[in-house]
Amino acid sequence: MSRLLRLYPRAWRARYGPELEDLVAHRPLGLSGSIDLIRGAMDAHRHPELVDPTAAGSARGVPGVSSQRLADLRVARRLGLAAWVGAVAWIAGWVIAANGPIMADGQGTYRDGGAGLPFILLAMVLLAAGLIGQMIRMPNRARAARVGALVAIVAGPAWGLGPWVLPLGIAALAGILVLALGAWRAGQWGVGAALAIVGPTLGGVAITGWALTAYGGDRLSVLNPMLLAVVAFTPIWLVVGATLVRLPALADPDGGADGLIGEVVSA
Amino acid sequence: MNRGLTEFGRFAEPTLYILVSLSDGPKHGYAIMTDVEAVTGDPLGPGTLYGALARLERRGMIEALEPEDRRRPYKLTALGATTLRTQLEGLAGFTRLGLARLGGNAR
Repeated sequence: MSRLLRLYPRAWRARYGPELEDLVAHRPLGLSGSIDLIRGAMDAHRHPELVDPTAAGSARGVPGVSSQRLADLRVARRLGLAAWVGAVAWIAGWVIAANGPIMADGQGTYRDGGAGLPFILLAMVLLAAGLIGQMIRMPNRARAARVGALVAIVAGPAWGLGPWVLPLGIAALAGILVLALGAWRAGQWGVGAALAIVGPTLGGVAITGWALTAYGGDRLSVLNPMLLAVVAFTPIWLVVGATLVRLPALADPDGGADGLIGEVVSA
Repeated sequence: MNRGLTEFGRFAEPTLYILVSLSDGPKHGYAIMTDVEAVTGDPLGPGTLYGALARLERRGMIEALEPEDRRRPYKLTALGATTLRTQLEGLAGFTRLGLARLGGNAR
């Protein structure tokens, strides 16, 4: 039980955790009860305002949500759309790079992917726009998420200018991971949204690391870099955008279809 | 149903059960769960129960009382009682209408 309860946001656990634990102590969950509890945890992440009125609220006149805040969130939403455009640029950049001309030099032949670099840079800039939206959207208490976003805002476009500078790329990825986990911990992102970034990103990094260490002589030639980059990292743009375009903070707290923006990413 | 509970989306039915359960006095979560199961024959999952309780509490239809150990009883508020009455009267009217039409067709 305690493991499943940890899926709930901290504020929710503080308010209802002891009651839920007591309830389950008197009534074993079973499979259906466990599924119901997991579903409840996802719902709690989608609607943090149920236990924390300062976290969010309905767009229609709920006390505690100022018109200025709503205006800010609408700006954040537009930045989320920019992040989605960035996903297209990211994919385009890698496809173009992977289909560049074969060049020859004194050491042999290689594929010149330089034509894809402007698209990669554009993708990183648009991702930074989405991350600025995340900083607007995150409450002050989501400090880890905000710090992670800030790191990625700086490191991401810098890496886009020089993709061969690996530490910048690592810093950007680390920032994104901190953002995802911090946003989840703060109840701002659903667990599904966080996992959609953390899973593929860690998988991509692990596969790359494995290739670099296991094939020291041949390096990344055993992989398809384009496929790896697209599959492992495109979710970053998609999730950053989706969590802004479908802001749970502006959705109807009861999951109805008449919220200003609608439902958050299905967790 | 009037908008009072339909706005709860998928939690509309559980919230109705909870309001009915609390209509004869305060109960804590486990007591609500067993009461609802006794009345409807279907168990109310813990996630659904507390999702519905949170919504009812936020809308001021129920009120949390002082906890007893780890159990916190909830009681119906005046708004909750009014909402429940409106809801049940609507359902009763609907039931009468349906039965009347069914009776008319049977003749």
